[in-house]
Amino acid sequence: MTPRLRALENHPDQWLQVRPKGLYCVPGDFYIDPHGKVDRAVITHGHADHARAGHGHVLTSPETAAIMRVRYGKNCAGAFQELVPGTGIDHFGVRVQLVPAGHVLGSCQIVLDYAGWRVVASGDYKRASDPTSANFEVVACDVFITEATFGLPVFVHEHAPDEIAKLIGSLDTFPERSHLMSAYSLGKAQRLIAELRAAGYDAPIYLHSAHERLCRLYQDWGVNLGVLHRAEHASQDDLRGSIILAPPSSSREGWADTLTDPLPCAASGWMRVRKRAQQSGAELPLVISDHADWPDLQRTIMDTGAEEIWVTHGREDALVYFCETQGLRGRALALIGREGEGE
Amino acid sequence: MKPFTALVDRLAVTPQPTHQIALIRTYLQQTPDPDRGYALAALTGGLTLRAVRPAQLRAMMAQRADPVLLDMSLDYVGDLAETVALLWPPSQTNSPPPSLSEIVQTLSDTPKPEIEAVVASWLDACEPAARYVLLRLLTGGVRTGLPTRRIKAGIAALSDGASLADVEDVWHALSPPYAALLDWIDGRGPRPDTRGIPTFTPLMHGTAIASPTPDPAPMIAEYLWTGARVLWVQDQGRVRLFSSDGDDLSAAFPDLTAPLAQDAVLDGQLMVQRDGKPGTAEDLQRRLRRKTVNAALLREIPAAVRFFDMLEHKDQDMRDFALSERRAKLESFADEHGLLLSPLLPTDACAALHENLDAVAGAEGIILKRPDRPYRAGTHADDWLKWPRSALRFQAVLLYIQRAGGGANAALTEFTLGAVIDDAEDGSTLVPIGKVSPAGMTAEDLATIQAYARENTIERFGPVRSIRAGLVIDIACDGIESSARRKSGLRLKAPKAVQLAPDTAWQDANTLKSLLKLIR
Ligand SMILES: [Zn+2]
Ligand SMILES: [Zn+2]
Repeated sequence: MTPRLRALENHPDQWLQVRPKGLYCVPGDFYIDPHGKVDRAVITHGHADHARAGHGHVLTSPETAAIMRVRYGKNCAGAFQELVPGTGIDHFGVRVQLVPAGHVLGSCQIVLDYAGWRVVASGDYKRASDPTSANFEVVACDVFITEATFGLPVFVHEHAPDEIAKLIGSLDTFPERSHLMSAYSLGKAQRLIAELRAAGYDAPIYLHSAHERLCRLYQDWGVNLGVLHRAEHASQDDLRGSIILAPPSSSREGWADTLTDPLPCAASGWMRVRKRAQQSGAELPLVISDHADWPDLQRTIMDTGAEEIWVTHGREDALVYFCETQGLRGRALALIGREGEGE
Repeated sequence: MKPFTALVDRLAVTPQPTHQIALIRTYLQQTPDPDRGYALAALTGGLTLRAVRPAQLRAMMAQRADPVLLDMSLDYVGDLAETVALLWPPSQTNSPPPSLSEIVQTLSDTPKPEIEAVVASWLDACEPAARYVLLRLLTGGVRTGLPTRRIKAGIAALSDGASLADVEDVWHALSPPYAALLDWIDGRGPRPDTRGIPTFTPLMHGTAIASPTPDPAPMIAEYLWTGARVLWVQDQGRVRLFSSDGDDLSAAFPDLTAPLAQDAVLDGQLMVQRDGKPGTAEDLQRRLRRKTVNAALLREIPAAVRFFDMLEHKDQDMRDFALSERRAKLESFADEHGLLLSPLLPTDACAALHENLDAVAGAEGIILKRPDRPYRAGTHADDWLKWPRSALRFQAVLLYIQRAGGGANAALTEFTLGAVIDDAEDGSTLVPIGKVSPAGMTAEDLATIQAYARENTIERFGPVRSIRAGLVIDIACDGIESSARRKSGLRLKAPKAVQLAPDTAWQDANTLKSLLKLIR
């Protein structure tokens, strides 16, 4: 980094603090992804453990604002201030910028400049390419706050197109069985559809009602998802040998019971570990994730050039240890409310 | 390696036999010889390539990974081969992953000191999933848990004319990579000749019952023995011992495969002993798992077969004879050749004998058979009725223990058991499913539990303490009922603690879902 004028008494651990409601920026008087209601929140992306309803004022990307309105209703925040990624604002002496994080549509890292110090809060991110999300951009900084969902060396994700080829191959082996893919409705569902389309799969894809609104939102933002139908309205004939996307909890619902011999599928970074894959009950576990895998966590930390790494939700210990082996200061931030990340 | 990896991975998570067969069929269709033949050998346990020992593998990994991260990873994954597969550093090598036949060939051509380097180069050339399957192959076998019969059914599914019985018939006459078999299946060659080679034929099985209904038809009764069902086959003086799935166990049981004066096909139960008493399930597994056996193990865990049926004698097929006739022949044959028989029980005393199963070492139930019936493969309505000691067995996690009074070594009086909830998003959790008395467990198991509880107590509530998940117990019970009142949704009928299952990780104990499926 180019040397900048800065004083140690203004070190970020003085002005960026872990408080009961989350990570708080003292001079700016705002929280980043708070898990309780606050007056001012800056939101990285639309997943429920980061974006919650009921804040007074929300600063976020236009896509994330749209996602929050669809999920929580038009009045889910007192006011939205939309910031286009790549632009910034000055707020009580803190410069706030949003930069794409590559996690889901609209997901952004939050870049804070204050008193000569730069902090980047990554939110959730990934480096792998994804047709539904702008690519992660590296921002050089002094302190990098990284997620660590897959912060253990065993988590090495597969290339999504290779995994999608397995899904398409399985349709050949089991042409009679509906492939019932469980996927969270923000991000994972749309990415799987877009990857299927990129692989040349152009048959209609069937959706559980829970996925419909967000898929439509993605399409409105210009993501090509091809022909989508509601699964509940389709005939048994249509569903035979088709791909159906549904949220993880829905396999016990009535309509899923009427499917003849469905083939349960799952796509997640957890599928990397065989025990987890077997416990999921999926007959086709795919290792596709919207989070950085271990090599990409390491690479990103090094790319930012940060001397200090704060590690949030996930497995902090291995990543903090890695930072120490690289001569970086690693610190586990004990943020509450982030344990249940649906992946 | 890639197609085989995909097959092994899919089989591991595909529960239904018909779907497993479809996967095997597709693989055989898409894979050339001799690779697919070696794959069949690997899946049926017929390919032993012990190229690296676990300690050696760990050392190879330690040269390539940070020790702290390696430990953290091993701790999380719980399996060395899988951890190595995931942690092995990606390499810039351009060489393709080895094929199965290349692996078999290279290992037989490579001098021992050079094998480690060869294995390292293969790991470099593979992706994580393929590395795992490769390491399984090289450290003792892929172990999909599929019975050999299922694999053979996959072969039969590929053919136009051959049935499963046909494939089973010729299987043991052939060896990897099964070129003659696959040629025949593909319609490119004649049916392989099997004369003079002992072959497996499918067994007859009993239908499980909860208790016998009073029946006007006369039945004969025997004990159901612990152990493993086997078919003992001697053809032209050559003997082979098969498991009920048709696996050839002969090499592991030289103590049971000495030829007799006359050829015969006999059905019986293999039992093992230790110190003159019936061996445990673990002892049995130690014998069954072996590909070969040494003299020390033969002395430590000797095996014997209690025979109860006779299917062939010399050139005579007796399967169509009535059981009473087969039994009479078996008794005289056993007498002549000094074989051990499963004795007949007085049928009218069955209820009392069933009450007192504990008094008979190795008995785990009673089987009732109609004496007028032929021997037919599979289960047949009420020809054979199995009346086991307890209808259900499963594995549960120990959640709470209760002691009589205070003191660290006060006697254990009650255990609370848990089932695994495996669809929780952030990992496995547990739900209490019932309580059980420690009576019936060995003093050794109870001491293990006491010692574990000392180190792993989470909380105390008077005489009860909650302990960290870690111990798994084999549970037997008469049945499982649904119970809306309980959080688990079920109630165990007369559960009994059988023994500790030290080889089961708590995450692998029965899931709540699997127990709910057992509700009748
Ligand atoms: Zn997220
Ligand atoms: Zn998150």
